[in-house]
Parts: sequence; C-alpha cells; structure tokens
Amino acid sequence: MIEFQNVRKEYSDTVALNEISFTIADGEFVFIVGKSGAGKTTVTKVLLLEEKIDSGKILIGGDDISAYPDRLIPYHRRRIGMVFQNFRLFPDKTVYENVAFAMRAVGAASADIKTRVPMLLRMMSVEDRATHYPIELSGGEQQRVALARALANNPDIIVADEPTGNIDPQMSYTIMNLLLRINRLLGKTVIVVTHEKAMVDSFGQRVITIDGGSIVSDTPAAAAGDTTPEGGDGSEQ
Amino acid sequence: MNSEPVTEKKVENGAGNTPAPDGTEKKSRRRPGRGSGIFYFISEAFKGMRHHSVMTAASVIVLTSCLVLLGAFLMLLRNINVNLEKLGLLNEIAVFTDGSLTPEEVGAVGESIKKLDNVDTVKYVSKDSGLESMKEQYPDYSDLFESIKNNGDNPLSDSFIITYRDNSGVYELESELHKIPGVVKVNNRLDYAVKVGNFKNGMSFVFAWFFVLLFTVSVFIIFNTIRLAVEGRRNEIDIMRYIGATNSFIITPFIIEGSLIGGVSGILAFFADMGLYRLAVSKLSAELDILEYLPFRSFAALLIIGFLAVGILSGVLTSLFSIRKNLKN
Ligand SMILES: Nc1ncnc2c1ncn2[C@@H]1O[C@H](COP(=O)(O)OP(=O)(O)O)[C@@H](O)[C@H]1O
Ligand SMILES: [Mg+2]
Repeated sequence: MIEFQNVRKEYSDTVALNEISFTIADGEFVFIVGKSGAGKTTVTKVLLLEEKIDSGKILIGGDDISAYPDRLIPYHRRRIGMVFQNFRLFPDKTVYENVAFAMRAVGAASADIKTRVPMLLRMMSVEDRATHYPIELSGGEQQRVALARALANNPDIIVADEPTGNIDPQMSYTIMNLLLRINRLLGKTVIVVTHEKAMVDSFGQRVITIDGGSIVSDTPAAAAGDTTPEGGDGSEQ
Repeated sequence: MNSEPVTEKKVENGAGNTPAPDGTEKKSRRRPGRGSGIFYFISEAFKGMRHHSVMTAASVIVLTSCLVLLGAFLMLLRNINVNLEKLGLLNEIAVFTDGSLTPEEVGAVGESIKKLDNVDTVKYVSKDSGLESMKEQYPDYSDLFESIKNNGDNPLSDSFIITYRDNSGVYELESELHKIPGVVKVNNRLDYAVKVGNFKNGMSFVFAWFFVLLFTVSVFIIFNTIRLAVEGRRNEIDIMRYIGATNSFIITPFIIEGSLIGGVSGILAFFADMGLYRLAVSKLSAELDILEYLPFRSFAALLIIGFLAVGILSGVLTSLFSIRKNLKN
C-alpha cells in the first residue's frame, strides 16, 4: 500500500504539493490527472525519492520512505518501474541492451537476463525490434521498450508520467491498455500520470485529480467490470 | 507484495530470482554476474575517453610531463649526492699532522680530535695508505707513486678524516682543530659543500614549484575531463538512477577512466624518463667523464612504482572529487 499523508513539497517559490493525502492499495490502477503545473510530476518525484518532501509522510507497505538513508534509495527505486513521457531510453544501446542493462545495473545474473529480456520484449510486442536503436523506432515502440525496461527487475509498482504525451492518439490507447494489462495480469500497482482527461475517463478507472498541489477529486473505478475503450484491446500491435 | 521493507539484501537476492511476470518463480543458482560487470565498466570508461579524446589526451600529456619532471629531478639529485659522496664533500674535514710526529703523538692527536664536540667519526689515514689511494685515484701516474713509495720519501703526512654532525658548528670545529698541537693543516671543503648544497636547495625549490604548478594543472584538467564525461552522460546517469543503480555502479566507469589516465601517464613518464636519462648520460659522460653517473636501472623500480602510484592515485582522487562536485545524490 502507498500512503501519502499530508505531503507538502515546496520549491523555492512554488508550493508544488500542498499537504496532499491519498492511499493506493496493492494491485490498484490509478490515474493522476491535472493541468500542467498541477504537481503531478512532483508526486512521482517524491515517491521515487528524487525530491525530498518538506513535511508529511509517504509510506509504502507501512514503511516511511522519507526515513531511508541515501544508501537505500537505489534499492527503494528498484521496487518502482518508471516510465516517462520522453521514453528515456539509452540512445546508444539497442532495444535488447536497454532492457538488459536495467537488469545488469542491479546485478542480475546473465542467465536471468538472457531468459527474461526476450520474454519482456515479446510481452510488449517489440521482440522484432530487439537489435534496433531507439532512434529507429516509433514513439509507441519506444514507449513499449520503456515499459519492458520498467518491468525488467520485477518491481511491485509501475509509475508512468505522461506516458502518452509524445505518442499519437491511436497508439496512446495501446500504451494505456498495456499498462492496464500489467496491472491485471501481473498484479502490479500502476500509477499513470496524465493531463489527457478525456482518455482517462474512457477507461473507467480510479482517477485522482489534482490542481495547484491539492487533490480536488478522487473518483473510484467504475463498479461494473472493465471498460475497454474503442481503439484497442491491448493485444494489438 | 508492497509490504516488504526495502533492504539491500532483499533486492540483491531478488534480482537473481524474481518471479517472472507470468507469475512463475524461477530460481537462479548463479551469483550475480561479476565478470560481465567488470567488462562493462572498462568498456564504458573507454567509451567515455573516446567521447572527449582531446581532453583525455591533454590530461595524459600534462600529467605525464609532471611525472617526467619529478623523475628527472629525483635522478639528478641522486646523481649529485653520489658524486658528492665520491668526492668526499659531504660533511668531511681532512686534518693533516706534522710529518715529524711520532706514531704515539699522531695517536694523541687522534684522541684530542675525538674529544671535540660535533665530531662524529674519525678515520685515521696513514701516509702510506694515503699514497695508495692517490695511486688508485690517478692510475696514469701509478709508476710515479710506486717509486715515491719505494724511495721512502713519501711527502704525505698522516691524516684524519673527520665527519661532523652539525653544519652550523663547522667553523668553530675548524678553529678548535687548528689549536690541537701537531696539526698543520685543516682541509675543510665546507665552502664547496655549502655551494653545492645551496645549488641543490635552489634547484629543489624551482623544481618543486614547477612540480606544484604542473600537478595543479593536471589535476585541474583531469577534473574537467571527468566533469565533461559526467556531463556528456548526464541523461544516462539520470536513467540509471531511476532504474535503481547504486552510486558506486554509476561512478565506477569514471573512476576507471581517471585511473587509466593516471596509469597511462605513469607508464609514458617512465619511458620518457628512461629515454631522456640515457640520452643525458651518454652526452654528459662524453663531456664530463670525471663524474659518476648512476645507471637508469637503479631508478627503474622506484620510478615505475612511484609514477603508477602518483598517477593512478591522482587520477582516481581527482575523478572522485569531480564526480562528487558534478553528480547529485
Ligand atoms: N525543480 C523545480 N524548481 C522549482 N519549481 C518547480 C520545480 N519542479 C516543478 N516546479 C514547479 O512546481 C509545480 C508543479 O510542477 P510539476 O509537478 O512538474 O507539475 P505537473 O507535472 O503537474 O505539470 C509547478 O508550478 C512547477 O513550476
Ligand atoms: Mg509533469
């Protein structure tokens, strides 16, 4: 469980998060939406301990992450797979190497890398791109590689910050559906940050809306089953 | 699932046998791949050096010059000392006795010398052995010395070679030696020794400044080379941090880069000094053959070990410092 308790984060002249509180259960899928500058990225940064909060508490599984010494921060980050708007793939590494590197960087054995990377690429339908460099891929393909990399070390939580910001609308649905599948099939807690309110609504998932660093609404998932919007069922290429 | 606390161990072990996304747990009997890790670090370091090859070359050149200078200075000093020792100029005073003294009287002179403050050692040199050593020193005239010896009219007198403890008390010692009955001549090479000493000090001073200057410049250049390396990979470093790479994993390539710059400089400086030294000795020994020149191999071990130590240490420390300054958390 992820708990934000009265979390406050100030930058020099801005209050980015104004004492926000919310709880996300294990295995939950949550959209965090809001206008540009609302504080959405700040939520992801404090969760990854990329930024320190000024007051309040962030608990993961009851553990106060603000109390972690610097030494533990990398290990904390391994529990969270991060996906960004601009993909952030290593430009001079192939698709395969991008995913493999994430595993190597945390000391995974080569045997595990050899079996796991192809499986992840297959799961994201980019296995035929394994030897290509990021620049040779479309935005949608790059984001799927980024998803594979985020899953490389089998994190409990996936955080995607505007994952569809640089992707055409059609592919955006595919990416969202992949995130949904990661949640449903792999049981990951998935947090998707976006400003595309319209698309979010079509998924019928829980939506936390923030504005000016405060939560203005928290709408639970639609009660009746999964709403799968037109535009993809998640298995399309 | 999310309720387990974060520990280094959990994650280190976890990376090896994480459950596959389809839920099946796969066990790994292998330990995390260390071999591929080292290979990765070294290849990253080389990649970095290729990226900013001009700065890397500049670092190596300046650090090499710095070490060459250090080595040259060291070799010069050692040669000067050897020659001073050979010429007996180091803390030595020769005291000559009256030729008419009996052996007992000469012995008494020796006793009086020993009693003086500031006298360290006293060596008796009989007039015969004095002649002998002159014969050795000037082999071209050995026949002459031989005939002098055989005629029994050795012009030399018995003497004492004194070493002293304290340079500043030498003139006092000299006058006290003169006061001893039977002493006819006190040969103090102090003026000469002082001159050479001053020369050595002056030279050390100039060399030290050059060294400090060059060393500062090379530290500065290595610092900036590593800074450029870090900056050129800022984006990749950020990604690595998000992936959960530890700081040591992230900085190791840069440290290796620094140590390679230092190590290569050390090796280059060694061979440069070897070439320079041999050239200098071959030129000088043709012109100034009365001096003794130490063979290069008497410095080789000291130089290579010293250069590698100074080079690698300064490379590594400067890289570390640069990374600390240029890489947040
Ligand atoms: N590093 C920073 N320094 C100063 N202000 C910042 C910094 N990062 C974000 N902000 C400010 O904090 C507020 C929230 O930013 P952010 O969380 O990035 O918004 P969002 O992701 O919702 O667009 C904005 O007003 C932004 O200008
Ligand atoms: Mg943002």
